Amino acid sequence: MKRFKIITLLLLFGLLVSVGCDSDFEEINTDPNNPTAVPSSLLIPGVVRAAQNESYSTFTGGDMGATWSQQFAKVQYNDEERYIPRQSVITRVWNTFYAVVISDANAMQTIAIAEDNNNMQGVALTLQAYGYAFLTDVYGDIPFTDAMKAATEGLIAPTYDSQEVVYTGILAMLDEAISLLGTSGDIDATNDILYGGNPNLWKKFASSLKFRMLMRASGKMNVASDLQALVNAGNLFSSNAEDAKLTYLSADPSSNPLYETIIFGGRAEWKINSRMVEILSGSNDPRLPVYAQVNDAGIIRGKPAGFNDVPSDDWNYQNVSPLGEFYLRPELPGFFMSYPELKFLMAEAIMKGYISGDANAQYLEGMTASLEFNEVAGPDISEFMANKVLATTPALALEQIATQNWIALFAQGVESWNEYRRTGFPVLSPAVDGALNEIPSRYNYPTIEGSVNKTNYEAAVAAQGADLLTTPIWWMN
Amino acid sequence: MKTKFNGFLTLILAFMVQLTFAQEKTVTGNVSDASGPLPGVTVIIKGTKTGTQTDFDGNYSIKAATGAVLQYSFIGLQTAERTVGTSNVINVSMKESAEALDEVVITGFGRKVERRSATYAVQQVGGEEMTQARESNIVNSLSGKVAGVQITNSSGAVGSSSRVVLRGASSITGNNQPLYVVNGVPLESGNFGNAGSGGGADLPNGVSDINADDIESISVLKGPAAAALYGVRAANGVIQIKTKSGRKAQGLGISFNSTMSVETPLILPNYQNSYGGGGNQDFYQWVDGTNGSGGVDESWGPPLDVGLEFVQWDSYKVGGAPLPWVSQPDNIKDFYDTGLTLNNNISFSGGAENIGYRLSVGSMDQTGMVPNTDLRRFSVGGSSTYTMSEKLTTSVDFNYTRSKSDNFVTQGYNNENPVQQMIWSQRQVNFNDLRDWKNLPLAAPGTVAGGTPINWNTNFQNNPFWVLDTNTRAYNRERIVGNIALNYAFSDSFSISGKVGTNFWNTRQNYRQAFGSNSAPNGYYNETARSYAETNSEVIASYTTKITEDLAFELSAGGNSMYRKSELAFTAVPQLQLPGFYNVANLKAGSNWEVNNSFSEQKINSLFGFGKFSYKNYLFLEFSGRNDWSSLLPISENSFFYPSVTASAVITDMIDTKSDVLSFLKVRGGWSEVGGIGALSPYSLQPTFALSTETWGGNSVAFLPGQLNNPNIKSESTTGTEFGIDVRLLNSKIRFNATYYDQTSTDLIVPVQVTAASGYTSSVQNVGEMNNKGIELQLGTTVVESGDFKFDLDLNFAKNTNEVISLGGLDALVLGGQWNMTLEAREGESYGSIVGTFFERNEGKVIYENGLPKIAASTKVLGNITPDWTGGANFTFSYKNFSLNTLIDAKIGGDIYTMTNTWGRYAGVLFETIAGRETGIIGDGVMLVNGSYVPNNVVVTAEDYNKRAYSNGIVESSVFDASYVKLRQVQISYKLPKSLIGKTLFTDVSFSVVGRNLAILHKNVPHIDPESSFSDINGNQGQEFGQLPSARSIGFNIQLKL
Repeated sequence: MKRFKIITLLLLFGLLVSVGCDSDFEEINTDPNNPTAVPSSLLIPGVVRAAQNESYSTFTGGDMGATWSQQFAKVQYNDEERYIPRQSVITRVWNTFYAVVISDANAMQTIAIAEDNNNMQGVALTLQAYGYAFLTDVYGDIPFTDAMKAATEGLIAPTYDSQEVVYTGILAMLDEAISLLGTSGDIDATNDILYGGNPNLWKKFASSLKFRMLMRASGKMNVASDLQALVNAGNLFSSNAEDAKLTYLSADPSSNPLYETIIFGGRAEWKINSRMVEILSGSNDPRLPVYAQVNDAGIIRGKPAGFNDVPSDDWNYQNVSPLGEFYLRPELPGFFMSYPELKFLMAEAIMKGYISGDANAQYLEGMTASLEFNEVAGPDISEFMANKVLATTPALALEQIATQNWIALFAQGVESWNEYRRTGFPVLSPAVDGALNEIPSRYNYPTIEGSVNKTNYEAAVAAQGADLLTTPIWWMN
Repeated sequence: MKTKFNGFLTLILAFMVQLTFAQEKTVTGNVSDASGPLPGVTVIIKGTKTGTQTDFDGNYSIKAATGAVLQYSFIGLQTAERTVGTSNVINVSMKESAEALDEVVITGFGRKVERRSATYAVQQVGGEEMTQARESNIVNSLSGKVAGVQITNSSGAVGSSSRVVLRGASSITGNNQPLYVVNGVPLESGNFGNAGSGGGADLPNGVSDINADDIESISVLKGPAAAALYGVRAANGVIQIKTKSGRKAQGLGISFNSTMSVETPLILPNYQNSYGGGGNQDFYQWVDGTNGSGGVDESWGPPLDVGLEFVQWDSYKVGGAPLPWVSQPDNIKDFYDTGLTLNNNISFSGGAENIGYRLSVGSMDQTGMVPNTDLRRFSVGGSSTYTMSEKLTTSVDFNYTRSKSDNFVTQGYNNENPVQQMIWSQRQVNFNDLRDWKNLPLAAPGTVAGGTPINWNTNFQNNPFWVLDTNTRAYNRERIVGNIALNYAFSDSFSISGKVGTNFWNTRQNYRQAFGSNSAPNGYYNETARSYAETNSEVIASYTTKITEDLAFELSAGGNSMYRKSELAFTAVPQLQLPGFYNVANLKAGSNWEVNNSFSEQKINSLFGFGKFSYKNYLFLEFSGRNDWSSLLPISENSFFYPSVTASAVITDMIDTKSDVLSFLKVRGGWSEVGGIGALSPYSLQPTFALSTETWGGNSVAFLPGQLNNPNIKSESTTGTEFGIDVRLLNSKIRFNATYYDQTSTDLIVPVQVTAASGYTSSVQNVGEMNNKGIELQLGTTVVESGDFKFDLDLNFAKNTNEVISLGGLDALVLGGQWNMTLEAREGESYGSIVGTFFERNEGKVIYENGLPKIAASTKVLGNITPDWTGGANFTFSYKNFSLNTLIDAKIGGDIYTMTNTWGRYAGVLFETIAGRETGIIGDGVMLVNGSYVPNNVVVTAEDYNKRAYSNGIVESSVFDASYVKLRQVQISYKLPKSLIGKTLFTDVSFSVVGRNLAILHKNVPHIDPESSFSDINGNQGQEFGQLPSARSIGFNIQLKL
């Protein structure tokens, strides 16, 4: 009897061991923590927020955008302002735009196709196009045709395409987006944190973005008829209310990165650049007190780009003006593309004969829209705008347009640097004590590319030129 | 598969049915030694060849007539004799023979075997070494004692983790640390801390929950051969911990052990004391800690001690007037407190005819060197063995530990790491004056620190003492490890045993940040709760037989089921509504909770068998095979088998060459394989989406994770060969053993970093191949033995060569890093390449432009974390009741990237930055003039030079050789002679004074302890910033037994 009990006991131990061999393994290894499917629109907020958080990051749009276009200046830790970039940020930009913005928008597109939702496909294509545009404008040649194929084709080392190929591809994506948007399918209003579910506004975003891309490539491609077609189609931004911007929320972590770092994070080294102060004060521009606060001495004083030993007696936290309070609000919008920029690009396109129209009117509308965005009081706008007119000499007019665009692009660091590289205006001197004697033409590729995608990286460098900040990219040549 | 498994059970049943039971009178009993039951003891009837051996639990059974003398023999123990009387039970407690204390070793599955028959490298450390030379994390006690064990204690912060690597890294991104097994039950020792280069707190790893006083022995099974029995997690070797247990037939024993030790910083950076804070030699004015020179966290300011006076942070004391500008050479040293550790442990053990038990209660109370950091640990454990009948033995063993801290210090590059503001610093600041923060004025309103106590700088920091007191990281872990086991001996030769063991813990952590904190102006609070449980159920059937008179055979076969689950719940309140109130409900209006929870589980089912042939007790052949089924792998690939074969021969017995010169000679060798699942975590096969912790105003945000899962992944494997020799000379006065091993891990499961352009940042693949080969040498000698004086010298040495053979076509895989330095696995290099930017050179000389060194735009390998060799020397002198033990250990080779050096040079606080402050610096190198290189002759300021040569942009200048030779331990012990205590209650009284981590005898890296990392995980190795200095500890220990 006792032995029987013992044998029973041992058998029970045996049972503990033998409970199934792998019959329940599939169930055990099914992820209970993450959804296997989501509606396409639920991916919108992440993509939109990631894109704007990256481009408004003080380390990206600030250090390697706005200080290079000399809108911002730094009174401490100004390596990047002196053209010594922070490589980790260069890698982060690449990773954010590829692995979050484009990758998630690409997934959004796949889901939208399965959902048979044309409008969501259009949204997904527009966001992918924006992501590729951001990347190619800062790096030059990038993977495009072979990109995003790890999951579908197992392709983990994509070849790089020339910027010309990338541009052609982006334009095709935008064409497809424009043709899909406004046809069918719902865009969830809550999830669409850009346009509240309005496909027509997405269509205006796609069309206006295409306008920007064509203008950027206009030195290399024949863009006139495409530009005119966009104007004719009438789907471009028609007011500040329509432009593509993420209005941030009032509290960390969903507030504007400038606020997050400078106010919330207490890192006040990003200040106003003297070039901006010079240009605005030279014309009594009412945006000056919006862009900058007074220093300890009660005046607005900017700092030129560069200088090795800051803070110094000359350039320090007290005597260089902080950025304006308007730009340090948590809710400051993050722009994909603004209405004033479109107006200035249209003014330029008219001046260059790409499209028909009244360049002066576009120019004035751009200025007025920018003043309005900056909440300059109506009477002050009228007073300032009185007698403003675009010069008749094309060269002078183009400089005026580019300069006004540079002013209006305040705090849109990377975009203002893009436009400076394209137009060369306003005239800027390289940073004092800079590691280079010129303003950078591009970001170098993330250093890890030389390891994880070596062959293709090397081919890209061979095609485009040395992987340096000074190597001009295709549309700059 | 199920069929196969059921087949196995049928086999066990078949065994049972075949059993026959002896009808004659039989003498049974249990044989034990000081450490518990002894298997393999030869029991013979004196004067005959009739005999048997004790089984795995020390039990034996022999037919013998009354009056016969039974002889019990076992190598290393004194032979015992008992006469058979009226009782049918004879239990024997064997005593150690004075000569060879280490003749019994514990091998796989906790089996005690004679060392002579061990067929692979095993090295054992006794429990006494854990309790006298006490460390709060027991693994640190192994430093320098075991050949080939590389131990890196992360820092001197209380609760810091320690990384243990045996024979080099075998996995690329997976765990490289050995499996800890406590009394046969695996103990997860993962570090769930979040310390890294960017901050966070290091947490004690799991093994630190083991109470040193409960340890009987630790045996280190270094290679895969020893590990084949423990399955997939044992590919990095096994550290088996056996805890003490009570013995049968023994009266009550009480043992008390108490240690008090004090800890002081072993090393602090060498700071300059000649120049104060600011960015300008001519000027300093403190305004409010944000503006003015106080906003600068660098020391490029005016000279100190030359009669200057400036308005400084503490000028409030004198109504805002200037104060003398003087040096504070001890300002960092004064920041630290003297740490204090108190350890008390009491245990009771005893037994009766059929039962043995031990109960133990221990407490540790540790106060850190960093103000307001602590760790308290309470543990209670018990074990009992009950022999129910001559055939049935049951045992139970459990241990409960609570580790608790009110605050662990923030580490890494984070402004709440107090050391950060000693590097980004102003040298004239007397930190001690900031200590009494409750009585300091508040920082100026409008500055980032407004509302918090004043600090010398409020731009980037808060008052460090205030941070330590208010912004706390509390931690509480409760763990239960235990098992129940039962063994039934059907006969002398056949037994079945079952064991169910569990390792369960839960932790609760919270992190508080008060209003006005630099990185959280409106405060912050989070709570993390984790729980973890692993259960192992195991059945083993064992059979021993003598095939012939000379040939013995043992065979065991069994199965194991492992089930593990872990849960996480995390809630963060990114901004608080009410100041000073820490509860997840206290959410600021407009802000949103950040929450995350997860559950994961996995199973591994295993069948295994192992056996051993012994021929004439001098030739041994062991073999094993194990098949695992893991739930983490795809169904089609989830089964994997791995075998091992090892053998040894005692040459001196084989060909009778034993002499006074050559006392013992053994050779051994083997081949083995261990399967593994490496870095694979649950749910890594199928793609999913995920919901972000950060909502958009409370609305869900979905994203596609950056890791591409792989439904076709398969198991990895480590295959190794090992050869060894054990020699004893001059009557064992010289003991030498050497092991050579060569092991290769293939198909390593790696989340391969891929270009983000592919859509993902990593992709799970079977790509890696890595090789480790090396030698381990141990030499023990009795140098002098004369009367009461004895001097023993034990040396150990290990050299491991690691090579990353393949990364599946990738050149490199990033493991971790800080700033612009990456720690990588690179094809063709040793594991852990330090990669980063470097200076451009011409013919070896640094190229200067405008007087400043030129930094190349690309990166290259600048160093490697893998040491060339490690070793230890242990000197033991004993005279009568005194003994002196000194341990020196060394790690030679390997590099470290130290950003204390980087930022300390950049910020002008380190001693080297004095050079050229007045005269400027001409860098040593060349410059290009008219197309040819000539020596650089351009003078630049010391500040310009240091900021160019040392910054996040240039990695090369901060990579140093991390070699060290440390005086790890000096211990003086005195044992009261029996003549003194004979009449007291006590049976044993001893005292010792122990110093640990006493001095760095040699190092090449300035300013820091080269034994350093952010935590014990792979990616945090070979890096340092803002190191909490390692602790020099001096303690007093008393042990009483009664």
